[in-house]
Amino acid sequence: MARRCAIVFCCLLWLGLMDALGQSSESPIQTFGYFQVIFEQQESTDESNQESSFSVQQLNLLFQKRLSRRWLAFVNFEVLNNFSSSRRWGSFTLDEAWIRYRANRQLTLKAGLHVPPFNHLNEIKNRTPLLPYVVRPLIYEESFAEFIDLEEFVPDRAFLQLNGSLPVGRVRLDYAAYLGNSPNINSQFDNEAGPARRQTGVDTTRTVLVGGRAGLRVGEVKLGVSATRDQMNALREIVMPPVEGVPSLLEGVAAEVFNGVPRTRLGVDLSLHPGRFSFESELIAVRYGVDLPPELMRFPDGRAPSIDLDRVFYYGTLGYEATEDLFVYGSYWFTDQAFGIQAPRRVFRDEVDVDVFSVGARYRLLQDEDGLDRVTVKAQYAYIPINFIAQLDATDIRGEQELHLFGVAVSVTF
Amino acid sequence: MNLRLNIAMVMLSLACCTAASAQVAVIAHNDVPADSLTKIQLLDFYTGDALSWPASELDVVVFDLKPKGEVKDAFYQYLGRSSSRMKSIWLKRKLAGDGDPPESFQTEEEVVHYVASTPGAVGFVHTSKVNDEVKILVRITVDEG
Repeated sequence: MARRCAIVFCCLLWLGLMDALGQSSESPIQTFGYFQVIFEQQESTDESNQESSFSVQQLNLLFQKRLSRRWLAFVNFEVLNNFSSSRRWGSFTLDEAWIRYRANRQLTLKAGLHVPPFNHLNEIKNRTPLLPYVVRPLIYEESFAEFIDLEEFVPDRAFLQLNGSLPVGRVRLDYAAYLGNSPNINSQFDNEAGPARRQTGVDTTRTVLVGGRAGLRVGEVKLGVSATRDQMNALREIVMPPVEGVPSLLEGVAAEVFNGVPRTRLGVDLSLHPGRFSFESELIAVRYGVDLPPELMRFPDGRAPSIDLDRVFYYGTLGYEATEDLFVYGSYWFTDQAFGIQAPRRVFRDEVDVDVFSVGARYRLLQDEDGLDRVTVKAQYAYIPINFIAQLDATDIRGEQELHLFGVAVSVTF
Repeated sequence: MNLRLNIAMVMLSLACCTAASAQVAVIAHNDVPADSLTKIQLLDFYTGDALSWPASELDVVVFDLKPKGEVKDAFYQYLGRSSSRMKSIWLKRKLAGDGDPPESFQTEEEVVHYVASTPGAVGFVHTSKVNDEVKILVRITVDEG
């Protein structure tokens, strides 16, 4: 099915390319970009986490060239966290490299590496000048990618996309469907053996990511549902941290059970802009279909063990345009990540719930001659209670920590 | 008699004040394939949702006014979007590769001139600035009383 979709995409792209050959309205290459510099201070109530730091949180360099009336090429390089290759800090990434064919408002084709639409924020999560936050809702905070597996919640990369908007009276029906790689990307570079034995950065399976979003807009009300489905290999290594005692629960139900595990992400988004107020919210649920085959069970009573890896994320932000340049907001985010195994007479559960209560403001300091933001300053305070539950059979350990985060930022578009 | 006259004058002044309004004309190049636009079509043009004229291959070229004033305020009030919201929409489009913001001009005379000389162009000015080189697609009256 996915392969057929890919073939149809390619045919449509080819037709578009033929159409473009008859047109020549190339424009000069446009180079622009943005960066965000922050000062952030964190304090935990148990004093285990006290830090304050300046950093170039993110810098993006964008290149855009209109190839003809309907064709556009776009490249986006992203630099995170004070990137320095000599110091091994941060990261430098080719975030986007795509070509787009816009037939009309009902049909646009995009081919190449891009961030696919999923709910409201995913597609614009790395456009820091658009967002009022110093620290974005957790699963969208790219600078946290070193310690939070953001891609577990939302798709980060797709390669073929078809989207459009259908006007029906006052209503706009938006749709997007896309294909990408499964998460089974080869990133093993064998230094001892010299050059990599296999190409890195490619999907080493025949499975693909399939996803989409369907939504409607009526005036300033926007509502949508999103979904993706892919299959994960090596789930054990990726998701399950080595926890003492856990391997004994999983003995005999290893490798093949954790290959080709279907992962479904479901999302709902709603945004409103009544007058000077705005409200944006999203709910994301991630489900893993880990089925433990009966022949692999080693438990005597025959009851099937179950594994729970499900995740939930929610954010809602209520904002108010105090003046044309000043925007203030209050925001609540919730992340629930669980890893649990229930087997006969054995139980393991490792759960982390993170709530974030946040208030902040953004002020437009400087605009260009078209009125677009050049420099904005942002400030944000967040109170973050974190609850841990770790349970192994009869041993149940619960803990909590409270974090206070204060950040200020300067966002510059150039 | 004088008192009645004064009262009548005050009433008349109040009525005039209440009726004061900004008369804005949405103008277009004479060759565009439309003689009127709905508010939704106009909003689609100014938010970049629609890139060509209805039932036509002709590209829409949107012009804006730089300075804030009653004409600009009246136009965006008619569209139901604040100036600040429009800026956010256009910044999002620019950073996503979906298009550049409307070219904006300092004076209404410039808007009329460039609309008249650019195929597919649309802009807005006070009705008093309109001449025969452009056609009016929408008349907006915003009461200021």
